[in-house]
Amino acid sequence: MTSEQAVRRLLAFSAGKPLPHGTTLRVPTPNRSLGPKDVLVVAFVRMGGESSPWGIAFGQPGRTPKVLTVPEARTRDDVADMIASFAPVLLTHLRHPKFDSAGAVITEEKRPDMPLRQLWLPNRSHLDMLHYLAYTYHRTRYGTPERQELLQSLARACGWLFREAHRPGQMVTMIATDVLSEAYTFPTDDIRQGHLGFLVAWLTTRGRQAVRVKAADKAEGLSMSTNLDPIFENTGLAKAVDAFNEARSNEDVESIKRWTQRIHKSLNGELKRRWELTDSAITALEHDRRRENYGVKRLIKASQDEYYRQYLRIEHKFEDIEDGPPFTPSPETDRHPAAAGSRYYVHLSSDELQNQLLVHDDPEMQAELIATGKALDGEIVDVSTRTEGRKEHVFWKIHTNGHLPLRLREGALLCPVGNERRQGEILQIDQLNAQTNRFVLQIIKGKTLHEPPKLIRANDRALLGSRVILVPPPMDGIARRKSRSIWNRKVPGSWLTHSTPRGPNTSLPDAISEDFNEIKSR
Amino acid sequence: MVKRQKDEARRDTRRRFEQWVQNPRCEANTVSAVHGIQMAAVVKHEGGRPTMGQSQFAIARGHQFERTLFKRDATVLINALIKSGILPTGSSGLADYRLRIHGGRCKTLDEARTQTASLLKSAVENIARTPAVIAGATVSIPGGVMLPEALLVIDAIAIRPGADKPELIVGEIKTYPDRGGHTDTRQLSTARAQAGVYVHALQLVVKDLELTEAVAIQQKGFLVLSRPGSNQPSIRAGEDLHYQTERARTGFQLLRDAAEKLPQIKDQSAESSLEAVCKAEVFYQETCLSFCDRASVCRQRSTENGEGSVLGNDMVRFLGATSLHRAVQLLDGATPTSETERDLLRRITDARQRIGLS
Repeated sequence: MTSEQAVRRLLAFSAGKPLPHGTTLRVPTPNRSLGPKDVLVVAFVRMGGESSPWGIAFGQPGRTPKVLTVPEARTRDDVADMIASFAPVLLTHLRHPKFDSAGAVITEEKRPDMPLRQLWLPNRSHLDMLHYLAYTYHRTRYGTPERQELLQSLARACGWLFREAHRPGQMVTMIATDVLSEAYTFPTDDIRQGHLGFLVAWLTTRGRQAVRVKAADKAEGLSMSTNLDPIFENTGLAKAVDAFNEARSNEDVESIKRWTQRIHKSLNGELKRRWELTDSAITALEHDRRRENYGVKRLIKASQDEYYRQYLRIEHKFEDIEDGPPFTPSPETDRHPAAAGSRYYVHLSSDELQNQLLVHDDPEMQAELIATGKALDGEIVDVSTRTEGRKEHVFWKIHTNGHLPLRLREGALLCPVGNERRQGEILQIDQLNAQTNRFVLQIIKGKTLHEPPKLIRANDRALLGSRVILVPPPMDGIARRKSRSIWNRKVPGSWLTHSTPRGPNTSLPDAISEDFNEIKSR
Repeated sequence: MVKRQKDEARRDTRRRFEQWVQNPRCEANTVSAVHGIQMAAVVKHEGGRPTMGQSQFAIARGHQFERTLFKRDATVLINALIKSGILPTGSSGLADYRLRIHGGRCKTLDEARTQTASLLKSAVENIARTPAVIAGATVSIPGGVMLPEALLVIDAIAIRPGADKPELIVGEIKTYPDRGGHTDTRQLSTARAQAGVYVHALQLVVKDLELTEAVAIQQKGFLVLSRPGSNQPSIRAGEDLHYQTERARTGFQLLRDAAEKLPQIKDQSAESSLEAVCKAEVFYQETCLSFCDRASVCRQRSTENGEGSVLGNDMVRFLGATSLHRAVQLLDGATPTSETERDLLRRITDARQRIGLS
């Protein structure tokens, strides 16, 4: 925790309520950048010790969720049937070519614009469930061929959603607790912020601090992860499951039906609570008066791009010049060096994009960057030019507060806040006196941009005396280009990036491995 | 009969040691761990509701997983250990010292401990006739670490012939799924910590048996996890346990010192023993929520006392010796009265300026 985070938390504690973090919202919310139909809320519960779901609740926010359960989560075939009933919902939501006409019309050359589709989950344990599903059905061989195909499609979708959740700045797999913790500063420790009920109670309870604390403590007492409260499981459900198993071994149809209904009723309440909490988190964000950060639109674009490259085109089996051949990654690891390297660069690029994009529209983020010495806030004290043939070089001298820390070096690139098209390179840094630092910048991009009143030509002396905040420009393109280059077989070093890993620690069971032949085909 | 078996199983003090390790600075936690006084009972005694129960299904799943591993002379486990390079090809044989209640052959932990010691001795004499895996090897820690005794049951030990002496490799079995790099890091660190305790305990026992020169205890152990969605094991070989072993050694020493200072308690279930925990000093930290039934009671107390830990362990470091209540007063414009407060206020003011909230 940084000092800034500690002070934010102290301020929230002093106020006795969560405080907005940042002056803008950094996530797209329904009814702003997204239509309500573009959001699917999903919640799971599982039996203690099992990694398959015992039940699933799903639906669009603001509607009544649909709930699916099985009476015995250890009967894999029943669980697979339940998952197969859920699969079309998720696959349609993700516009899988076989389930959605919009997803089916794309070709290698033509990608129609499709609105972003989001999946909301209560907390990280529910995200893990997506990973379990990807593992379990990656190459499932049980059941009818139709069910196998359906479950494998679902496993690919879950695997992608799980991987995407770890890409910085992604806007597809939304973990409600993470989104709320990012959007607000809660007066509590990090561990408790993993409980969605606790966070929602803090946000939605009105009144004095004591009232909010009481409501949050009460909400925290109810389980919302994929695990059920052991006491609830042991007292109510265990008997019902035993009775169901007995009825099943006795082939007592009436009892089977009765116990199935009883178990469904118990799980239904648990699932609905988890689902409704997520819905409440979305509503809380909708009611937030802050506007969306302008950078969100670019991040949405990046997520749509990633959705095409890492999900849709793989389902269509299209090649991609940047992201390589269409292959289904293993849920466990990236064994092929080119695939692993490519994904590493994509993550690097995404991180760069997220960090440098949102700051342009959030004064709090700017203040933090300035305070940590990664950005400049100063006054333009001189604008000069030097002509070289037909080319004009433009230089700015900027004075900044010399008391602030400084991490920028000569050669670093900066761009004015709100206009990343104009970029300058730091040529010189001097400390004029204890109070003032002087920077000499050469404007190397966007010198002639002229969109008054916000933006005037870089060589215009009207800039003299004006305040300017300069932040590092997004350099996401470099890492993206590296991701593309790493797939190239015809360059030095390809012996390393294209060698198939061998050795005892590189083998994976067939059920969870990727197909190297698919990758090698490029 | 079942009660007797359960009581016997409770003599395994591993859980108590791990409970203590989670928060060694809390005296109440130390009293509870050393004397085996369950925190759930303490909470009930205080009129609260325990929150750390274990799912029956999860326990059943754990037993089922172990059964799968150890059935037919541990064929499944041994094959997996061979595949991961821990045991040499052709290894076989299981010495099963687990309690009967856990599907093993021993009636008591004392019997398991005696048999473990004899097997270690015979392994030195004839490694070729020694089974490749010991299940439920039981060892005792000398020196009053836990009261009345400190017994540890080791999930699995792999034995292989080394260059000049037999090698013992400690293993820890967990049912949770192995998801490669996405496996829960906290669960993994707990499993490694447990394996480290075993390595240290085994070192003590081997020393006690005067076998230190005759066997080699590997500092690299293995974890047996499950494959997601199946009952098949996933072996994590080469787990470096140097640090965890050292941590266990230091932990045992601290615990021994702490145990000596604690009041004597004869009956763990008596009201007086519960009161002993209630009266002991508490040291609340945010991780208490993940292992202690009493966390909410202690948090309430810490909030009233203005301890920074209610806002996280990092806040404790940020506030230093200043209380949360005083920090809020400083935030609201109170004048600092000491150098510590002036320093805190300066840091608060700087940070507020940096985030544009001054």
